[in-house]
Amino acid sequence: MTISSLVITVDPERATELERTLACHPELELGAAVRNRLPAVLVTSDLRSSAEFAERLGETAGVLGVDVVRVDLVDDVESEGSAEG
Amino acid sequence: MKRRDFLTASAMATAAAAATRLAEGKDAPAVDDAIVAQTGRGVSWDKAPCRFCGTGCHVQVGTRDGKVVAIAGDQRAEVNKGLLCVKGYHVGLALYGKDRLTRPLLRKNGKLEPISWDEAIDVIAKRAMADPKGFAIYGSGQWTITEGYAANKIIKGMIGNNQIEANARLCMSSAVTGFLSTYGVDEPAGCYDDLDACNVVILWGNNPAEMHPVLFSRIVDRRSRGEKVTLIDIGTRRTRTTGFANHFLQMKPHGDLAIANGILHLLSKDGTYDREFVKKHGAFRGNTQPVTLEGQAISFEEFQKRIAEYTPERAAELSGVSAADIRMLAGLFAKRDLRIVSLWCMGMNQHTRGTAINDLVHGVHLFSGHFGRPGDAPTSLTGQPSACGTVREVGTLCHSLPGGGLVANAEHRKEAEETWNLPPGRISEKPGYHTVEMWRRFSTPKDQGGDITTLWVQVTNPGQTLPNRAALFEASRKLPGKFLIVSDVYPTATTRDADLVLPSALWVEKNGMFGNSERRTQQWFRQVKPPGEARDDCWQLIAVARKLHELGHPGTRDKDGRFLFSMEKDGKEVPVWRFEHYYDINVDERLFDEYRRFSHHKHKDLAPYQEYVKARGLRWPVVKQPDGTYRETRWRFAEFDDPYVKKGQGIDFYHSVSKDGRAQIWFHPYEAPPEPPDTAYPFWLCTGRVLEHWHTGTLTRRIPQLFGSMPNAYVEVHRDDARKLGVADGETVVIESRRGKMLAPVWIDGRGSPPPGTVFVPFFDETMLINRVTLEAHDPHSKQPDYKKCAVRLRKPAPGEVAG
Repeated sequence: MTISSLVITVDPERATELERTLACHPELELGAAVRNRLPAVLVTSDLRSSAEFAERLGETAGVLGVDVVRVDLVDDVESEGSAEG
Repeated sequence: MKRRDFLTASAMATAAAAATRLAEGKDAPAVDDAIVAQTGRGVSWDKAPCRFCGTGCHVQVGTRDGKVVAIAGDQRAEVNKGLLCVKGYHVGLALYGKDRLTRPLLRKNGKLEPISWDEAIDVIAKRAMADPKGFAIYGSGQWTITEGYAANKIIKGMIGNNQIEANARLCMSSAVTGFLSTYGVDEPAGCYDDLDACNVVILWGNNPAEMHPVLFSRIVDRRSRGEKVTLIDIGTRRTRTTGFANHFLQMKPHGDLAIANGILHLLSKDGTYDREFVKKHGAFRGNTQPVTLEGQAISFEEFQKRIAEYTPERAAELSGVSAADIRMLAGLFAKRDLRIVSLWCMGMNQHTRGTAINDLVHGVHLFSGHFGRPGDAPTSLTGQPSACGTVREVGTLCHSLPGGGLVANAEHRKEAEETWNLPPGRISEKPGYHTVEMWRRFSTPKDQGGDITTLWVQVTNPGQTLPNRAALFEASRKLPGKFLIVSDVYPTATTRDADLVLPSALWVEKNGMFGNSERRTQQWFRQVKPPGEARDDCWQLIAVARKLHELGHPGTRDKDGRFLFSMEKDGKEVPVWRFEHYYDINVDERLFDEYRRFSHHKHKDLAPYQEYVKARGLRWPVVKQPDGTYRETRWRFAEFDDPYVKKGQGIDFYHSVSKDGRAQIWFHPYEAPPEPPDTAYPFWLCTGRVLEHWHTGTLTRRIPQLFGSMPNAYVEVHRDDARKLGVADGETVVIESRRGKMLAPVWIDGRGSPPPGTVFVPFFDETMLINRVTLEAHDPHSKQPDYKKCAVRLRKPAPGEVAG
């Protein structure tokens, strides 16, 4: 399991609509927006899924940017090693 | 509370605090409480700067049971304010590739075989004893400050041949010579705070969206808060950064020289330069024949005469950028109410006229008065975490001494000899060989002038980064009597050909200090132990020094007969050369507090080690206040912030080349690149980096998430060129220059978009070595090679064809 802390920067004019859209993602828990900055927690099975989700999120209409501010790596460190062997 | 709920709540606290800080632009103290709360489940947290680029982000490293288990952006760090890039939040995994080097390996009968550390240290010391003049060390901007300092002391104070270089010669030495020839002292006057205060950012051949993403997001974040920041991207190809730019000015290779001259021409001709600034703070300078770094003073009239040739139309012809766009740039610099930051990195530095273009960009800022106010700054960025802190400040180059000194300067040598308690005359006045020359000598038979016989590489991978690999790297591997030692953490393109390989500790497996691109010195403590027998690079250096001492090398003693790395605790010498005693004391603290004595003569004052333990880095000069505290300096040479500028002076360039407090505004003519395309080799080759990988990929290619995102190199080709060549997207082609060839798959409309006639290859992939192809031609002053432009051809491979 990977838990990531995100800050999603949203287009203020589309914030309400966007929050509704984002709330449909079961992996994503939304916090209370501060102006156009929306704190969120992303829970995925592994880091790759987390990175892919964050990238897809950044491409969502109305999302101006996604900052990953913290990632808990506990499970990944214990299970992953060299990519090259 | 369930563990998952606890972690989610803690993560939300981090996100909420970061959101508050980003939205309000102020600190959110609760966030660290959220991190600390996790220690309840057995995770210990401590600070460290990120291991990768020169931005100098701080991370919080979570460890449990001797392993790094979590990484968080450090909320208290001014550099990154809790944010990290994709490499940063995976940095902990860099320690855990499955093929870590864990034992010293010596080549016997052509094969690397395990040996003991005692034997390894003995082999190195005996090589140095047998031919001290031919013994050299080659390090990098990934050396910690104290590692570089120890290596420098060994070569300059002990061996005495000045044969030390660092790979920073390959990435930022033109920035150094630009600062020296303009201001008389190295490193940027401004800092990252300028990015928060500017109205315009001009990127000179720079792609920060991929190379310095946290700094880039600092600019983009301002836009998302509704602030207007104009971004101008000047480059030879479109990159991820271009997508955010208001203006993309596509230039020909070396076009930057013409563009800068075009701006200077217009400011001069239109009278829109800052007369008051120039009158008080500027002096004009031009080249001599033969050229020297100092050049010679010229009058303003002479400067005007020389710059007259660079009309917008002429500059457009040379650069490929339209005259209208050159007028647009000059118009921006003509406006005093704007604040303009110029940023650059390898694009201006890896350039056979690197010093000249650095001088010219500084000159544009000085001539227009866009200097010395927050948001008005010409600022170079570095690619390595301590290119500034170690290579530039400690002086791990063949001509330098710590603190900005020069081996050729008798006063500087005297000061170093006094600080190290050496007998007078110990330090040689003769500089060693710069990087290209050092490797050329190593790759040349001794009886033909190849007088470097043993080369010890630490924390870098020259087998993948030296230009013209066949001539500068591979040649030595076939010569008898040439011995290559490599200290590293993983097998690399360099260790594979080494005679002796030493396993090193990495990042938080050792104590360390880095210095980032904005003069910020950072400190961290060891947080986990290295695997197997891997050991600190600094220990390796001290152990070899001690072995030389035991073998009777006279240079290992100071003038009182003491070992040069002698360290005491409670009146007793601590044998730090034995690894089991290395952490009995804090060797970093001892070495740093010795080194900082050098930092005053060029006003690069460093605080005592313990001040850095408390801080997330401090920007020099760090000056002691009457109340005993230490204060960092954000803007140098400006009275409002720099304590070395006297009241009433406003601005003072107190290391002025012209000795009158003025900075130099240079004229340099346009010169064409050394190897333009021709009928045999019709394409320009540009090399560089990608977001996911850091430098030669030895760390990032072992992080599964990063490797998975970008597993291999490629060659970006314009669609029209691909059609003419008859190659499809993904098809493998040969990229061939006069020096060598490599094979890579074509990427059309990929990450970047080169124009027709230009191709781009990243250098992170050890399975596709583009340095077989690159050119070793270098700047006459900085000696930095040009990796951004040489002539190549592309063709389909013959059956079974391989790189070579």
